[in-house]
Amino acid sequence: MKQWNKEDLILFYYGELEQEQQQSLGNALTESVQLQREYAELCDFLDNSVNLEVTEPDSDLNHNIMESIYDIADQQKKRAENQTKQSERDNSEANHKADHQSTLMSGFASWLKQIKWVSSTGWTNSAGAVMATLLLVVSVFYLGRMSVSGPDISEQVAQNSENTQAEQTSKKIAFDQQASRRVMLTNVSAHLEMSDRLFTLVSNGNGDLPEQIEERQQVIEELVALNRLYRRIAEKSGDNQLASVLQQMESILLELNHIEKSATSSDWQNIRDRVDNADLLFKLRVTNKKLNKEII
Amino acid sequence: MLKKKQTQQSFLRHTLYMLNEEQIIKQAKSGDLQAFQELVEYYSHRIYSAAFRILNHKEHAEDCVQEVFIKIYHKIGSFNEQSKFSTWLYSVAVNTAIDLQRKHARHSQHESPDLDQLEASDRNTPENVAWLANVSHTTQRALMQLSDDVRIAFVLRHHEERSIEEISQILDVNPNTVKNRIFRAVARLREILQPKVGDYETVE
Repeated sequence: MKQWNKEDLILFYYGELEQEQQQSLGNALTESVQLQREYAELCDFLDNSVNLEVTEPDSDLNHNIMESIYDIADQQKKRAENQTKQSERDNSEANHKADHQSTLMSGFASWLKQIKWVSSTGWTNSAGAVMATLLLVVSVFYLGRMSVSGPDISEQVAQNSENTQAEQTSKKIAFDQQASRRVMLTNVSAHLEMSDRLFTLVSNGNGDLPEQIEERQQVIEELVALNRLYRRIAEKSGDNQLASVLQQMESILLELNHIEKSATSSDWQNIRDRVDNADLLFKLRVTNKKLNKEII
Repeated sequence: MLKKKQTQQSFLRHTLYMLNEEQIIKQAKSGDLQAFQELVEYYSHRIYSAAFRILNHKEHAEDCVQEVFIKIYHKIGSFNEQSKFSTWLYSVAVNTAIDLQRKHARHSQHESPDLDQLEASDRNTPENVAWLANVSHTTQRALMQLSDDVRIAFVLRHHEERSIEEISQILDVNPNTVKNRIFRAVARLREILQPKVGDYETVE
């Protein structure tokens, strides 16, 4: 006869034993008082002592989720439209170029027929000039990159993130109401500054933007979390203007947080357009100025 | 009476949804937002309660649900309809909750459980509210003493009523590993909670 143990009783309780075993343990339970007592204790414990009540979510949870989804779907639709337009433009340009090239080629052929010879020194000079021009363009490009790189934004953002964390910790100290509001505003202001840098980076789109954004993924994740927190506080305290700016920022931060590695240049252009069309940088700076005045 | 009517309605909604799930998912995959909204409406509370039990924080759980559905929206095209949608959804949810938990742990070493917002539902006599809050608070604290993998396996089986087979797919581990985690969870919770049972009874 099988000896049933505690683990079997747990699986029996959850209905996870094989059907045959389930039946056989059921029979054993009717026969053994000891087993009955053990099982009753287990049931009592699992039924009554491991309760975990769940706080109801906000009633607009689904609404908020769908708002983000509709927002993303809108962006995807625009991207698709842009891509279609772009490919149409590319096709028409390609056709135009092909026409142009065939005209040039026929012109060139007739010209060759006329002069019958090509000066080899002339070709060498032209090739040299082209190479020198290319070299100059590439040098200027790299010099430009070196001169604009300056202090690394990710370091600044990380530095600011550390500052914000330090400020958040200090919030726990019992300040009076006014002082804690100032601390709060300072945190929000630091958050706006970090976001400002990020959106400026996106808006300018210099260099390899996807790579730069990927490097800052951790920072973006933290910006999303902080943005949600500050938006909720702003909403609860009735600061609608700040809440609205943070809401607009959140949708773009979420987009940056979830952007795929395979995103195309038109996807990035789309995000840039969203930042620009919403005048987000302007609104963000005005809001930050207002906050700073209040802090002082 | 009202409670009974609500239960019937919820059962009808559940049955109606389950009958149409395959179709709804197909439509959602083809970009139908109305269909996606049906998925959100059917699953958001379920995912929220799992997230709440893992994260122990109302607002973090709400953020988690939002992140989960954004991920699902981006990835639904790659969902293989031969597997169960709910398993896939829970798998995304558990991973997202773990990520969020780590992230929040970096920000604050210790946060008090979100118990002050407990709603008493229909059992709202002062004694029951106190008893429930007490049990819930103690359970939450006991659960937080378990390691993440043990706690999540237990929460999914005990509170979310997922089968061991399904949990093994959600967590991508062997069913025997899931069983072991559940055994460890029950044993540890009994060690922690059983001495406290007397305390609840004094409240009751």
